[in-house]
Amino acid sequence: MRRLQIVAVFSVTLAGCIPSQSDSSISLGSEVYTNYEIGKTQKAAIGDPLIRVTKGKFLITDVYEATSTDTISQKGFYSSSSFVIKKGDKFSVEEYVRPNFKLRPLSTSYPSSYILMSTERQVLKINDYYSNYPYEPTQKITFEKVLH
Amino acid sequence: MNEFSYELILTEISDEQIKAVYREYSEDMIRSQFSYKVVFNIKNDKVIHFQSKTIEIKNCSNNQIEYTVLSD
Repeated sequence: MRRLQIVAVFSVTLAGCIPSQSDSSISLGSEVYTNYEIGKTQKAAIGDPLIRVTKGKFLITDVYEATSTDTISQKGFYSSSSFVIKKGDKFSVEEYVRPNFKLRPLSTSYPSSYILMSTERQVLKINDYYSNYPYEPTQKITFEKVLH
Repeated sequence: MNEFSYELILTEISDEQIKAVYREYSEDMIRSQFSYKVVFNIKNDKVIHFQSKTIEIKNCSNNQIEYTVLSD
């Protein structure tokens, strides 16, 4: 079974704009495959997966307050960088650092919820300040295609 | 393709308990440091919870269960 799951909304800052808590945001979704369907009764024998979930590529499903392209920049405390993303650009999860990690919506009211990007390595890192103190990367998400 | 998977493998069934093993995979490679055993007590409550998922156990036999994922 396959479905697209919106897993997080990240606050980003438009380049050239004054950072604020109400800046534009990006919705990231991921393709999720499960061995079950909600509400449907099924059987499992010993050795079978009761639950199996596979998360595939991440996809920017929408860019709010943007047209076709946007330049986004870091909203955190690492060195600043920025690059252009387009609606529909794909990301893929490169690393999960801790178990049971689930990207939670990062409220725009949390100034320390941020995304970090490296234009040189085409890498986007997402850190979760509150659930993963002290600032260890929880996921590393890589652009599927070169943007520059 | 970068993929992340996790699963709950059924290992033991009784009238009172369901035992399973949680496993994670990254690119089909098992992440053994994140594997652990899980025991659900179903004697009094046929609804179990794992992570954000709610599962109702409908029927149990020695080697098979019928279940429904109510929410995830």
